Amino acid sequence: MTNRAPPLIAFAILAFNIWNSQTLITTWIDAPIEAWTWIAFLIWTLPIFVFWYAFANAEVELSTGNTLLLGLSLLAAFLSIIGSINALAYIGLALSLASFVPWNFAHLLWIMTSASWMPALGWFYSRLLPSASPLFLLSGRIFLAIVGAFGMYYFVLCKKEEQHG
Amino acid sequence: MDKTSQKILWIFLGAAIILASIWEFYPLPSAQARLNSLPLAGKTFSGKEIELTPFEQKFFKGISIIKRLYHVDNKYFFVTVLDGTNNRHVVHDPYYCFRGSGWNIDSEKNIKLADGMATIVHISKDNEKREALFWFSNGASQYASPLKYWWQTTLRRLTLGFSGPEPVLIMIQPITQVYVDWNAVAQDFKPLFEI
Repeated sequence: MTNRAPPLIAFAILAFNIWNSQTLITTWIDAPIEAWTWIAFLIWTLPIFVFWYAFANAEVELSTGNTLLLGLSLLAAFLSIIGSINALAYIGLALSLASFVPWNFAHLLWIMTSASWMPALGWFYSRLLPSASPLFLLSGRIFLAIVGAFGMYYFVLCKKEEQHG
Repeated sequence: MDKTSQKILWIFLGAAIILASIWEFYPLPSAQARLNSLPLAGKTFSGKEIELTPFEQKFFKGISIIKRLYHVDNKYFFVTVLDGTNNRHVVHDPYYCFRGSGWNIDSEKNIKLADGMATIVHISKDNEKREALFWFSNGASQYASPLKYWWQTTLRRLTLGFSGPEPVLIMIQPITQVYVDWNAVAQDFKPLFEI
């Protein structure tokens, strides 16, 4: 059995979420407390590319474009627009990205650690650690992103072993 | 994903885009009138407008903002009032801005205002120490909680403005002094505390 690419609707919802999360990039650029946060985002999204690189031509049954994740991402994006809540927009983006890897044991942790690249974490930091340095925050972000991504890498490794086994 | 699920998601995506467009382009009444009610001068205070920097002009594009220097009680104060009706996201929790600019929050204290509460923060950076007083006001109540601000403004947007007027962020900072007698300032600069 061969894998199939996610359906077109998954790409459409992802595009909608990317459009809805445009302020993420300007926030990373303009807000000093968010400097270099894009590094955490790249680390966090790496599993998607690793997965598709590993299984682009594999003969393993895979199912991507998770309906529940896509539905929740659409709901989060919609609520973010009508309520003007950027945090929900970014959650929607995280959920739609997460739908591009088949649901597995590491998904929940991976989705939760998407907070590593969200400005909301910077806000918590400014309130809870009013004297800590921005470098401390950035280190925490990168660590969180690595933790989440590691679980997904382990899933890819397991699937690879299953394929060869 | 089966065909039925895909169809349902396509319908939801279309509905989300249409409904979101309605909300996005619905004109909410702003708090401009309340900002306009703050005079430049009075019996016990006088002020002047301060030009926005190029970064501020870009960052605060489309929103109503007051940025002035006032003379009250023989002291000079920077006064900023932000109305986020057209872009709520530029109205940040002051703690976020202070930390982002490299200031440490040394202490914080709440004080009572006529219609609620405000927060005094003492901040420091290198060898500089500063003080700032800030609060949010919707014209009827005053509070310093950014969570309450986000809740009120979110509810306002969800209800297309029917939940109440837009809260604005008001911040006043003495230029050099710390440990200002804010009760005396509130007495001599009433219009600011009545926005």
